Amino acid sequence: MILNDIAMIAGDTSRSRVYLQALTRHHLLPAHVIVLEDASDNILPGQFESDRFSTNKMINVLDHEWSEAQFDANLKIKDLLDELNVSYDIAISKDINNLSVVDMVQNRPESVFIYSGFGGGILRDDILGTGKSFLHVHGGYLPDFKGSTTNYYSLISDDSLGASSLFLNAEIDSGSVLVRRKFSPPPNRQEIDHVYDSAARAKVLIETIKNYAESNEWKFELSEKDNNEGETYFIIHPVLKHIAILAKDNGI
Amino acid sequence: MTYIYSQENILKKPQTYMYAKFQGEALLSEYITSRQSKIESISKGVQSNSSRDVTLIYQYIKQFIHYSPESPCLIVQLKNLQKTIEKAPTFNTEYPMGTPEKRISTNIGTTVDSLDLLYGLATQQLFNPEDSNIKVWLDRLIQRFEVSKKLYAFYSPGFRKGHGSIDILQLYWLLALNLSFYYKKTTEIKYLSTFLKICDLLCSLPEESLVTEVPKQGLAMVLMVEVDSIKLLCLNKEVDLDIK
Repeated sequence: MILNDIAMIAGDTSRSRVYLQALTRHHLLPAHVIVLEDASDNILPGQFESDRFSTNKMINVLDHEWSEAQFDANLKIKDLLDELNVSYDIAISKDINNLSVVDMVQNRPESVFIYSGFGGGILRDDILGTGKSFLHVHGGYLPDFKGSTTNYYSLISDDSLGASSLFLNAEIDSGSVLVRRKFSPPPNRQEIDHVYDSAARAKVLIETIKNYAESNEWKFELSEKDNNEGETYFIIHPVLKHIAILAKDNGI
Repeated sequence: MTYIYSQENILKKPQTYMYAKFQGEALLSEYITSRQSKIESISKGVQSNSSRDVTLIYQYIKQFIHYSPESPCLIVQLKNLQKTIEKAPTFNTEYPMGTPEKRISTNIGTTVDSLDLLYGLATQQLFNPEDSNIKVWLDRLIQRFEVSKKLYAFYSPGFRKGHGSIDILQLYWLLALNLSFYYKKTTEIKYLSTFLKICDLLCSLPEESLVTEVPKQGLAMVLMVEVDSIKLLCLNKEVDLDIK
C-alpha cells in the first residue's frame, strides 16, 4: 500500500534502513522519499562504519517485541527504493535546513514527511515554515526521557528502552505524542546504537502509521500539556554508556 | 590502552561523545586508572588557596563523608584529604563562608556572573539543599555547557548567550563540585553524565595551569567522589570492574 499523503526524508543511516525495511514489511510505503546525501565520503552521524558494510550482516530476531530489529544492514536505501519502485529525489546536502532541501520539501504535494535525517539535526524555522508536518520517532519514552541517547539513561535507571512518535516543532521532543511504548532490554545491548534503538522507533512508527491508515486521522496518546514535564538529557558519557551495555541480565 | 576522553586539551578540542565506540570492560578500568593517577598527582602538598575555597572544600568533605556510608574507601580518602587541608595556612573552621541567601533567584532577566552563581549554588547546597532553584540553575548550566562545551564568565539576560572568558578553570571545578554533590544526593544519572564530562575536561588540561587556578584538594575531592560514584553504580548494575 502506498501512503499517498506521506513522504519521507532520509539520510542513508542505519535508522533509515530499519524504517524503510519495516515499512516495506508492513506494506506501508511512502509516496516519495527525499534522500539526503553528502558529497564527501565521511561517515555521518547514524551511519555504519565502512567495515560494517562489508560484513553482509543480517540480524535475525524471533522475539516479537524486537521484530523490527530484523533487517538487512547492508541494503542501501536507494537500492531498496529502486527495487520497490518508490520515487525519490536526491538532495546533495546532509542538512535538513539547507535551502535546496527546504525547496524540495515545499514543492512536494504530500503534507506529512517521516523524518529520518542524520543524527544531531534540528529542524529550524525555514523547514518548519513550509507548512508540512514532520513525523519523528524519538528514541525515548516521553515525557520522562527527552533529548539525546535517552535509551542508555533509561536502561540504567529503569531497565527499559522507549520510543515515542510526535510531529516536530521548534522545541526538542515537545508537542503532543501520537504513540509511546516501552521495551525490555534488547538481547544484545552492544547493538543499541544501530539496531535496537532504531528497531524500537520503527515499531512505534509502524503502529503510528497503521493507526492513521485505519482511521485517516492522527490520534494522540499524550497531549502537549502532558508532554511538558520530564527531563532533558544530553549525549551520555561513554563510561555510563558502557555501564548501560555491560549491566547484567543483558543476555549476551 | 589509555583512557581517550581526557587525553587532549578539551577546552581547545571539545569532545562530542557522539556514537562513542564500545570498548568493553577495558574502558571502565582505563577510566578508573587514569583518574586515580590524577588524584595521586594532585593531592600531594598544600596549596595556598583562598580561605573561601579551603572552607568550602572542608565543608564538602564533611558532607560527602556523611553521605557515603556505603563507601569506606572514599571515607578514608576524604579523611586523609581533610588532614591535609587542616594544614593549609588559610584553614580556619570558624571562617565565615558568608550568609547564604534565603533562596537563589531564578531571574534570568539580568546578566549573570558565573562565578558568583556557582559559589552561590555551592553554598546553597550546603546550607539549604532542599531549595528547588538549585535544580533549576544546575539544569540551565548543564544545558549551556553541553551545547557549547564551555562555561563563560558571564551570561547575558536570558541565560543563552555567554560572554567573557571561557578559560576560568575555577568555573569548571565549581560546576563539578555542584554536580558531584547534587548527584550524590539525588543519584540522577543526568547529573553524573555531565559531571563526568567536566572531570574529563579538567583532567585534560595541563596540570601546571590547572593547579594554579583550581584548589588541588578541591579537585582531588571531586575526582574521588566521581570515581566512587562510578564504582557504586557498577556494583548496583552488576558490572564487573577489573581494577588492579
